[in-house]
Amino acid sequence: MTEGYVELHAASAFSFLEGASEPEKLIERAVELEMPGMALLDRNGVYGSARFHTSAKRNGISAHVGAEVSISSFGPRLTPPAWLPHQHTPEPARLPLLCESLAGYQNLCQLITHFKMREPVKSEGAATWEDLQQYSSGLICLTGGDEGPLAAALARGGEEAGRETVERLVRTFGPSNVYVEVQRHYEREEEWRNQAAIRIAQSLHLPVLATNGVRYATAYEREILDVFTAIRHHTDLDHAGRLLAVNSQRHLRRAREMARLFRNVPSAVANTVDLSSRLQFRLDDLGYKFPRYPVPDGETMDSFLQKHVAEGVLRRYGPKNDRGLMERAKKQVERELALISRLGFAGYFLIVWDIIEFCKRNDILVQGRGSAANSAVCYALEITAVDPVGMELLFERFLSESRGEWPDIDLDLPSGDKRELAIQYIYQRYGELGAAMTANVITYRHKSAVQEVGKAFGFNRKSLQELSEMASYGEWRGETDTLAHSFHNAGFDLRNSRVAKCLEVSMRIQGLPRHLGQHSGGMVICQGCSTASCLWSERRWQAARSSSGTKRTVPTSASSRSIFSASG
Amino acid sequence: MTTSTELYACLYAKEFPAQSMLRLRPELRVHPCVVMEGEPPQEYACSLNTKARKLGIAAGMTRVEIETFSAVSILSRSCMEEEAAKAALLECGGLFSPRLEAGSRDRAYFCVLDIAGMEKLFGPPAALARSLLKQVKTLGIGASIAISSNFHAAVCLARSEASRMGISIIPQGAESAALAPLPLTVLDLAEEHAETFSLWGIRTFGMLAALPEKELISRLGQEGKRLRQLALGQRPRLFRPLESAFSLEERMELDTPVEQSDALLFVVNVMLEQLIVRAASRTFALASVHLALSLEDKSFHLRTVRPALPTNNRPLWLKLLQLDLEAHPPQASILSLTLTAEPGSTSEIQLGLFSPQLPEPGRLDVRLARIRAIVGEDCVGRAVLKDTQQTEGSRLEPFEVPLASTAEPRRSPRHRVALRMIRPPEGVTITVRDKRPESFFFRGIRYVADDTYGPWLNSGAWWNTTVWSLQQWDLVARARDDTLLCCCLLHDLRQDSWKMVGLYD
Repeated sequence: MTEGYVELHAASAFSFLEGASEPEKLIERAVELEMPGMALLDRNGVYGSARFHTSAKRNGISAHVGAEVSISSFGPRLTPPAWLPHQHTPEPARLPLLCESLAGYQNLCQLITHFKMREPVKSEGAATWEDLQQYSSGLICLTGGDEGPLAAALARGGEEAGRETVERLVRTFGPSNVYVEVQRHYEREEEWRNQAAIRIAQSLHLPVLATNGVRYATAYEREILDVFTAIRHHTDLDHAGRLLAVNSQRHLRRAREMARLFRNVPSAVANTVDLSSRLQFRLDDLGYKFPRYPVPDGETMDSFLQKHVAEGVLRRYGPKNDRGLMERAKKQVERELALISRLGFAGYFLIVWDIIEFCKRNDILVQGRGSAANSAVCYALEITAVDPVGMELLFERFLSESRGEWPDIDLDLPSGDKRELAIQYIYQRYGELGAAMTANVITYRHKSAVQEVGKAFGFNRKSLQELSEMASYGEWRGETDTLAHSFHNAGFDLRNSRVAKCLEVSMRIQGLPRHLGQHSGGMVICQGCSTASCLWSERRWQAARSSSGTKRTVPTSASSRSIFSASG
Repeated sequence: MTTSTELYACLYAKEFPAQSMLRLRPELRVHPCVVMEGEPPQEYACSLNTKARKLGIAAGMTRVEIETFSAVSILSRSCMEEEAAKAALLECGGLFSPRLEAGSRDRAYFCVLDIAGMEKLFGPPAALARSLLKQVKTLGIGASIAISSNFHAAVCLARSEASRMGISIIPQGAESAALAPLPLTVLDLAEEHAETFSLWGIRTFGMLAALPEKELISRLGQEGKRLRQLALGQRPRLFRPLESAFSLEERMELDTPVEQSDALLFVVNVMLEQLIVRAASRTFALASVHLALSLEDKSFHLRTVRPALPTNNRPLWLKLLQLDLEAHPPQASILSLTLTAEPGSTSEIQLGLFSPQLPEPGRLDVRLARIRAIVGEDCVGRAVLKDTQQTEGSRLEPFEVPLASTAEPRRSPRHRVALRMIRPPEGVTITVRDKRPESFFFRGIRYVADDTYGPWLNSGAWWNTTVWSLQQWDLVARARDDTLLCCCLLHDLRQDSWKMVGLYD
């Protein structure tokens, strides 16, 4: 049983080439180990938290949210000493932060958004002490493993420097919100840092917390992490050297194992359960609210919507001269409006209607599609063009109280300047921090997997080119359309162990996140400051281009509507 | 645009394959001569002299066609003779300017001399050209010379005047006028451009130069601009003078086969002296010497000696070569030898004003060579750690004298314990309890573990057949007589073997 331990420092593949397991796999393994909860701390983001939360909820596990945040003020993170040959590049140390409350989550999102939007060129970015002080409320701070500020300070200036760093954290977050982290991966160099950390914790009266700095669910996935490391550093496995992991110990462990590992510090394991019980925040309540649509005095959003829908019904059904149809339409919209009012979605419909009206005023072709066509309200508001009453379409396919989902209306606009006009209108209407383009998570498919894994395995460019041409983009064309066949057809001998391993790894990384991209048109709109409910990354360098070729600065939000609907 | 200080003379020799062969066969010059290229029966005429052309023979004709003409001398193309002719031509050009650039076009060979500033030596350009032409004629080669302040203008004019084999001089600023009457065929146009110009009725440089630039660019792109600039004689060019290769090589054929390598040393000494003199003349030293011995059994014995620093110390080189040959003697009698050297910098190294007297690098090299002869080539050097997670990842690199003072190593804030590595690791017989070492036999003595630290896990190369998976343990163990042993044990998990890898002081 693992009820005596909660892993409070795990990273998923949404750390983009620094984690090897999907959030679901981590939860699956936690279930096997009978672990009551886990915290997901991906690198500089909460990209995996929605899937993590959904899977944890389904399996009855507490899903804690947090992130490893790069902080430039701590100096570079720990690297091998200069007298050892290595290829590590300087990176800022990372501070693990856990969200204790909604305020903590909001502060975490704002912190990350704040430093990412500050970067003038394409880079990860890093926060500063000032940023931490501004957004520390509601967050629990750990001192980190070898990527953390304590390890960096100990290596730089010994125990004294380590103590100063922890004292600074205590001044920023408060003494009850700082935990001194210890990790044991059976690495020599780690233990003296652990001993120093324990002494510092004792001298400052801080609790010690045992974690495993998890990067993969099981030891087997260490191989994926090594391949990702080679890819990230643009090298191959044979030449990666000390960039690769020294062993396979960063996996989820049972409580029994952690208790044995930390038998000299038993409180370190027990504190994980205590801290887990403190972390009350769940992703169910993001505090997200639809923007309030400004309505005239004396009106509410529901009454305003009702008025426009009534006008729309007359406009749509009047010319049809069918009294029976008109009556049915009125009854239908009445039913839909009642549900919309009950669920509090009037503002949403008004927002969409507002966009439609803008498009109509500016001669921009726009069309709602998908299940929204089943809604008479959408038809009345001219969001969709199909008469759901006359066609007897089922409204519940679009919106149903029992499903507990949010409505989803997709608007199709033509590419080019017109679409750009509509997007700019939304920015102007809802403010700089109230609207953002949605980010896409680019994942590995056949082609990209074989190319990058093949390179990591050191195969030559010509062979990889042939292999890549054989691999399809994912559309299944028949029994022979498999990666194994592609390898064989490209002239690779699958009896060779290295080739076989390359094929195996290529298949295993299918679907794993590779990097963040920008969705072609999805937008997120929020009341006031949307960075409080999702985080942004500034993408000036990849500014969206309209067909006219004009560049504009585009903030992208890392949470998509589909993720919101999964959390709702 | 060309600057006023530039002046180029283009020496243009057409039908170069034929001229290079007839250069050494003056008796054939009075006859029609054709040079054939290719494998029979698909040979074709690649070059011919004027007399052959006047007969009606053209390049590209087959042997059968040419044999229909009477009294025609047919020669096979010789690249060796062409190279020799080129070298001779370049040497001739080198008498008038140290900066030459050479090129080939069709069957012609040309070299362009940078003659800016040569007036004081050779007189005005016309006089220089006359002297050059006269010198070239003595080589048995006919050429035309064109002089211009624009590189391309000189080449184009020389090419167009190739038949006359005379001298043409373009006054500065008059390039476009001088080039105007030249036909566009001088420019080597691409087929599509040639067709375009033909359709437009543009046949000469002057006509091309008269076309408006912007419109020409819009029709032909940047290539149009380039052609127009060439037609105007305004196309700039970065002159790339030839640099002769510097090679240090001495070769000697022995009168009789030599069996004892010692006997070679006298000859090697003389050859080394030559190499050192040649290197020193260019302020180089010898960085390495490659010795290639041709043996009686038709094989080659190849050795390379490379001291720590480049040096021109002949006795040192001789000693190093002697030691090397003693360690690696040839297996048969020696027929000839070739010494090739790589040049290196002669910069002196100051190891420190107050540093103690160190062995001279030369003496160090001799000492190392002696050691290598005893322990083997790959067993002498300095240990360098490899970039790998493996515990024994190191390799040997040749010793090097540092060129600059190295920075003081930063002191680590932690107190370190010395670990004496045992190489190769020694096997131990071990007793394990609860997966931890309990007692072991090492060098015939039984030790019981008082304290055990670890394991420290290390694994890698899972993608290879060289995969490793190791456990390290630090033990404080005691023998029966209370002797304490602090040691490091290694457990190879794949082979399930235990080894003693180090002892702590």
